[in-house]
Amino acid sequence: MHAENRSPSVFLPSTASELLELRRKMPRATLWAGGTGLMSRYYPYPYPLSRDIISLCNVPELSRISRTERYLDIGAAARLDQVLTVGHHILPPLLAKALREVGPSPITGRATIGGNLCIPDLRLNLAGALSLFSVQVELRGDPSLRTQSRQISLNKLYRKEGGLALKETEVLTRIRIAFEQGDFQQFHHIGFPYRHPDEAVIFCVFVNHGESSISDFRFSLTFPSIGIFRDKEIESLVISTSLPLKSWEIQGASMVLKKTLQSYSSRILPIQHAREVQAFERSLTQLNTRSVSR
Amino acid sequence: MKIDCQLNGKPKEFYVSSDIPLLQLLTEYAHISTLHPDCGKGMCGNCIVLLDDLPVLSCLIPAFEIRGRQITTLERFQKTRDYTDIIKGFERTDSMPCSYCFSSKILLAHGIISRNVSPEPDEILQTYSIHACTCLDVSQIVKAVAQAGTYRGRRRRYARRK
Repeated sequence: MHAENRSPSVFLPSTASELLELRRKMPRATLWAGGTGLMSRYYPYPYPLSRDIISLCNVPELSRISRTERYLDIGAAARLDQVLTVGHHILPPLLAKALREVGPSPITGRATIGGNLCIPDLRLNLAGALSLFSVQVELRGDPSLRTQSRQISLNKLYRKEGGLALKETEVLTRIRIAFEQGDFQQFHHIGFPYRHPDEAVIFCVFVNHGESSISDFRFSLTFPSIGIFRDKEIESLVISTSLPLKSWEIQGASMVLKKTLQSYSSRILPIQHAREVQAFERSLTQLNTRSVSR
Repeated sequence: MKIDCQLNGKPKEFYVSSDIPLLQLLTEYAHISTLHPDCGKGMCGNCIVLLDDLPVLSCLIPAFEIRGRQITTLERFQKTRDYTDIIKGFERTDSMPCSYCFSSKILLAHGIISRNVSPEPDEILQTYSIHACTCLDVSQIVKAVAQAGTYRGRRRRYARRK
């Protein structure tokens, strides 16, 4: 009877292999990094979800950040402040803004990049922003694999029906972001994605353009409790149009977006719909303004 | 679980469940009275304490994370010179926080000006966005923290010259 009330056991592995061994033995243990997500949904003692906690704080490999000429490699337990400090000059502005807007310094000083990506039922700032880049995540701990780890694209980390496509014993260990230069990048969150996921939206856009036309256009719309929306058709509608965009071109792209969003999910609220479409139109208008003022 | 830490400069031992929030440990077990949390979920910003001299939301820190670390609450902080700088800044700009959020607003100001004695208004506003209490206008907060930073910078320069 009293076993229910025992204090959860906390395990503090100091290497990645220790962590994976613990994870294999206790697949249902709660993985603990910054804890900003877990604690804010916290149920006071006795904790109903798991009797065991594996803390990632003492695994230096998971908080290491390194860079090559082409990639930025970030350990999954790296704090957001740490990523912002180290990658201040090399992070794409869109990604830097997404990191900064996770919260004020008491939050970003504790929250981790892996934590932000791995809340199963929420898609937050980083998931939306990173979906525009070529991002690989490293997963370790799958016993059926001969190799120690597998690399998948970030988009494959999320199931379409919600939740994470991770095996029971797997742990997200690294995130690899390919460097890309963009002429126009924007990140906006409207509402509070964490507090009010059903109303908030996140809009990200990444554009490359020459003197007179758009050569690359990517955008993502994130509905925190539903998923991330990207549409290649709308992107290809905008690509190769000449700058400045005509108002009918903006209206046309926006109309297609409105229709596609209606068929995307019935759970999108009208307020989210309106917010995303407006953000999309505004970004195209701002792109126009910028191209004219160049 | 046994938790050893330094609370307000004194070594303490607590026998608590490893996953209770630091906030609960401080209010129920250590009887700290300066915290006035409203939500317990990281929403109100009224439970800020210093963990190794950095402001954190104590409702988001589990007890096992504080082993071997230093926790400072307003009880101890108000006996320091750093506190004097901040309180002078708030007094000078005629903007005193209410008794509910006083502790958190002061400790947040400390967090900002320890990093940078002349913070940008944006930095101040972003840090204070964690706070739900509206007892002060944002412009008052910006002025007060900037003023506190001026006092802190002046005191540091004076100490260096000595």
